[in-house]
Amino acid sequence: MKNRLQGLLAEAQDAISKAVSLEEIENLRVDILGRKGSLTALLKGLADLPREEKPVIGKLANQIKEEIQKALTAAHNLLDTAERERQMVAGAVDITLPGRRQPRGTVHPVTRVTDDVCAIFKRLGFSVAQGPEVEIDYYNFEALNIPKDHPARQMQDTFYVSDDVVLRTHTSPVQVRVMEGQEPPVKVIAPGRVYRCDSDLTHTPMFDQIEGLLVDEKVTFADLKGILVAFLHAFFGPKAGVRFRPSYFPFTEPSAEVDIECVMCKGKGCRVCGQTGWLEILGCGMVDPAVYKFVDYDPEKYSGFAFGMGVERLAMLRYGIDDLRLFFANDLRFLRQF
Amino acid sequence: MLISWNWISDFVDLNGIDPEAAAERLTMAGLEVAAITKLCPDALSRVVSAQITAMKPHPEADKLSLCQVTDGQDEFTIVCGASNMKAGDFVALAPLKTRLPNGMTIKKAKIRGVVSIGMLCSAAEMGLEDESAGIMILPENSPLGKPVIDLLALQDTILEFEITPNRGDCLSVIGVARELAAIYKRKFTLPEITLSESSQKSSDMAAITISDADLCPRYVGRVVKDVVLGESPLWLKARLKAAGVRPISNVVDVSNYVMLETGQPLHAFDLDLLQGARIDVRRAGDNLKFVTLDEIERTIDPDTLMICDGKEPVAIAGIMGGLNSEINAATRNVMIESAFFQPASIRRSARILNLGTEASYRFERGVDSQATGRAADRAAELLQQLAQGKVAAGAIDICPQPRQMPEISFRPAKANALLGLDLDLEAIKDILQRLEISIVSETDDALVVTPPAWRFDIEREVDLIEEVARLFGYDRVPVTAAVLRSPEVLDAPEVIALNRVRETVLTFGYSEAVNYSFIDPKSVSGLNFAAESRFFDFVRLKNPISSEMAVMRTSLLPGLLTNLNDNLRVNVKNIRLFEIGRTFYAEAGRKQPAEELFLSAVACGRRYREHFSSPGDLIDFFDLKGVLEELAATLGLALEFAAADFYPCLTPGRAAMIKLGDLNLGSVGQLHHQAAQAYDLDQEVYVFELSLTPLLELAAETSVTYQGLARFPAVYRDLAFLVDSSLAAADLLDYMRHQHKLLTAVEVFDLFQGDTLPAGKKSLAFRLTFQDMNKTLTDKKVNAIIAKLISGVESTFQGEVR
Repeated sequence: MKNRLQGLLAEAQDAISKAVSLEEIENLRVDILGRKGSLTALLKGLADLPREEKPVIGKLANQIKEEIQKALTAAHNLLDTAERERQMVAGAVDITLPGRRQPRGTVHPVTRVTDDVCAIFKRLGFSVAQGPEVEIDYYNFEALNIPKDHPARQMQDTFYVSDDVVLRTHTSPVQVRVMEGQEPPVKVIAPGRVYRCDSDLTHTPMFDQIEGLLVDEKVTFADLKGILVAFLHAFFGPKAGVRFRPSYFPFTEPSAEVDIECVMCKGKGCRVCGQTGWLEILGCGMVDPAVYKFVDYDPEKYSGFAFGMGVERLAMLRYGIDDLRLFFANDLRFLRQF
Repeated sequence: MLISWNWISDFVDLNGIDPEAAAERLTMAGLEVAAITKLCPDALSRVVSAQITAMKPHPEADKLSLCQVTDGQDEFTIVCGASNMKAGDFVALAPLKTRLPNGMTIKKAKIRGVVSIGMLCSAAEMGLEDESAGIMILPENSPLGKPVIDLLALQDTILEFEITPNRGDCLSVIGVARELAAIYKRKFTLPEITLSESSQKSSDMAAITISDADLCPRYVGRVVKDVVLGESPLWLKARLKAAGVRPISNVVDVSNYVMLETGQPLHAFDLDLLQGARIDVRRAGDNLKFVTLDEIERTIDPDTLMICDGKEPVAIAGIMGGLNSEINAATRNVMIESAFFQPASIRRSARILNLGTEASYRFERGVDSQATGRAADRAAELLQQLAQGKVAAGAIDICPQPRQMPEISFRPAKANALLGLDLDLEAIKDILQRLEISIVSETDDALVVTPPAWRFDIEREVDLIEEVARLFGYDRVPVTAAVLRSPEVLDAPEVIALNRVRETVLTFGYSEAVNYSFIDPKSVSGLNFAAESRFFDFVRLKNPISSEMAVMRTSLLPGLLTNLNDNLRVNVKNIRLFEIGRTFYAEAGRKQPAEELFLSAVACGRRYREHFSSPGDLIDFFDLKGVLEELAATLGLALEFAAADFYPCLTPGRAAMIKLGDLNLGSVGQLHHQAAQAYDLDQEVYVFELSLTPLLELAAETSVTYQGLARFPAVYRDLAFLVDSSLAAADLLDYMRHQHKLLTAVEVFDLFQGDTLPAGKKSLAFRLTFQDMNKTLTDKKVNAIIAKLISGVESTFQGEVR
């Protein structure tokens, strides 16, 4: 019995060492240790052994079973690792190939800049207002202190729908509509499309503006500078030079044009800034008392300021775009860059 | 407006002031200097004074001379074609290599066998006048070898101004000089005018009346006799040139010169052409035809102010003279007009005539009504000097309505409060005085002041506050971090919803387009819409840029389809574009049109991004419908899609109306082949149009409510039915979804149509989800529900379970 057990172990070890696949290992396990396996069959003869031999042989049988199991597991692990390595080699991909990307659209640069500007002013406490694009003369001109035949009307080439209805030439009519609808404090920005009858290399008949209006008690020109400098530093960076110079708008007084130091040449003078080192970036001023009359605000009690800027111009400076017409050509080679 | 720096110095001492620095100060005071240039190019300094030491005819050519010329150091032999010089004359010599303003560079040349070294220049060759009769002869005993432009003091700096409409007073040399004087605290001086008047009086030679004094508060006429028409001297031509005005003749040049200098437009009539030697200033009174001196016949409206002689109109007041009284070669006697016309009246007439001139530009903005006489005197002085005119004694000065300057109350405290400054009274008074604003009286808290007559922009206290700020310097006003009350700062719910709409469309790969709001009405016809639909309720522009931009858009599709085509042309093939923008519809009985916010999209090409592993499938109907479904889910709204049997621009069978309850919000589908053809497109294009205005309002009212998560397992079953091909899947889905409350979801997961199925049939496979929130479902329960469901489908839809 003992010899047969030893013989079985030797045979098993030999067979296991020759096995080359996981399947063969599994078959050996069944053939030897399974219910009908050779070891199982041999152990059935244990019952016939003399009583004193039983513990000795039994112990030996268990040892042999364990050894066979160990050999099987070791061989299995070895073959399994080899198999997995083979699979990994076979399954390797060229990781330098491009990844699979979901399609993702792009926001128009005008929208992006509008959103950014609005976000800055929202943090400064402004809310967003809107108005119609086809506007009544009264809101676009009259109530902004631009009566008929005023020279300032020549500053803006107007599209007319009828004698009394125009495509708004600026977002300023929103100021009037907002003030008509509420008492101070007023703190709004109004982004939107505006139209002027002008089309050449540097003008498109439609463009985008952002208007701002703040009216409250005791608002000063110094406050106007404070808000606009804060905005310009947020948009162009805290180091951007800013200057205010007198200008003229019929609906503000005092009025100012705001320049920033040229973003291209840092103020040294270049083609973009016309050698001046400065770029005109927005118009602003203290709301003219004449406008308060139209909306029934008391100019002795309230004061405030308004400002307006062109979105395409901001976008051109931010992204280095040199052709205004690209904004409205909708060439995907352009749009996908933003 | 171009202004000569030298000319300014006639009125204010500019010693020690650099033009560049002055331009900066002027800009910062509100007179924007856009550019600074030199009148003469630097290369012209190479042209130097020289003297002809000897002169003899060219041996080989009759019309040429050989001049021996010295510049004080070297001698040159120069061949010259002019004949106005003689030995001993002082001339302008351009040595070799000089580049002249006309582009010519002087080179050594052999002319008919004689070598010429350099050139003797005419004023025209130096760019100083348009035409010259001969070479330039310099004054006797000019120092030799000096740049000619320095010798004649011709070099000048030209400032180009952009004057805002409120500052009509600065449309002149004097106006700018006054500003510089105020800025630099220097004295402004008007030089004395010296006239040697003849004994004959102007008023004996001509008569002036003003019939419509409301439009013409002042009219000054001056007579100058026996003028000799000719060319103006070089210095005057140089100043006109600096101002960008072409010299014509001494008489015309003088009136232009005085206008540029004083800002007062003048008109010179040929006195002998004025019928009855008289002038009347009156409204046209009737519609009439009038030929202006540009030889154009114009229709004059009754309210336009005209200058008339004893018989007929001779000029449109303040705008342009008539051909019938123009200065001409035979003119001997001149009547100079210097007037003040009401700005509003000139603005109106110029607008109606669509005619803007240098004169009307200034009258519209207001001229100094107290300087009218001086301007006439100045013109007379120059005609006397330059055209040998004999100035008749006195002016005819009709001033029925002297302009009253306002008295304005000005509170320094108010100025400080509005500007955020703390200026003391003396500083404020100093600024006012520098601007020649006179202080009439003074109380504890207010000054009463009167602006000078040339200022038309100072009428109210706030106008004075601006003047204080301007001269104090905007840059010196502090920058305050304002402590301000904040009203509501949350975005409106519609704005938030709109942002989510844009975000959603972006995630599907659509890029945002922005098109002009005006379109060609024909582009809408190309989309086949019915003539009576609102797509043709155009808002028409009265003055469009072109017929392609004549009406406001009623749909975003024309723009987007054009973009699609443009992109295909530059070889961009896989296209997804969307636009969010307004459309406009004229409404009967309303001034303003209806404006509606739309979201539209166009797509063609591959469904997936190009990738080596992606299938090459093309975009189809369900890709666009999917965008809309996702959008609805994002907004928490239930969009429905109804088959559209007929939608003009879409392909029948691949088109759906987008509905929200009873509202029709738009359409989605494949572009009809005829519409595609109209836009030059030959592939399958899919589009949708969605009205956002009602959608955003509803989305704003919709809020998300959290649903508890199931704690018991759900049961999933698949079920396929064979049904008629024509049966809408949505009908079957709708039916099943409402059969049992434990059947919580039904989704289509397969559609099969093919030869293995009976003709006219399709197989639809559904995944059913059963969920009980309170306990674990048993197979028995689920099976019972399914059995009922199958029999229901079989009887309702004649479907057959597979």
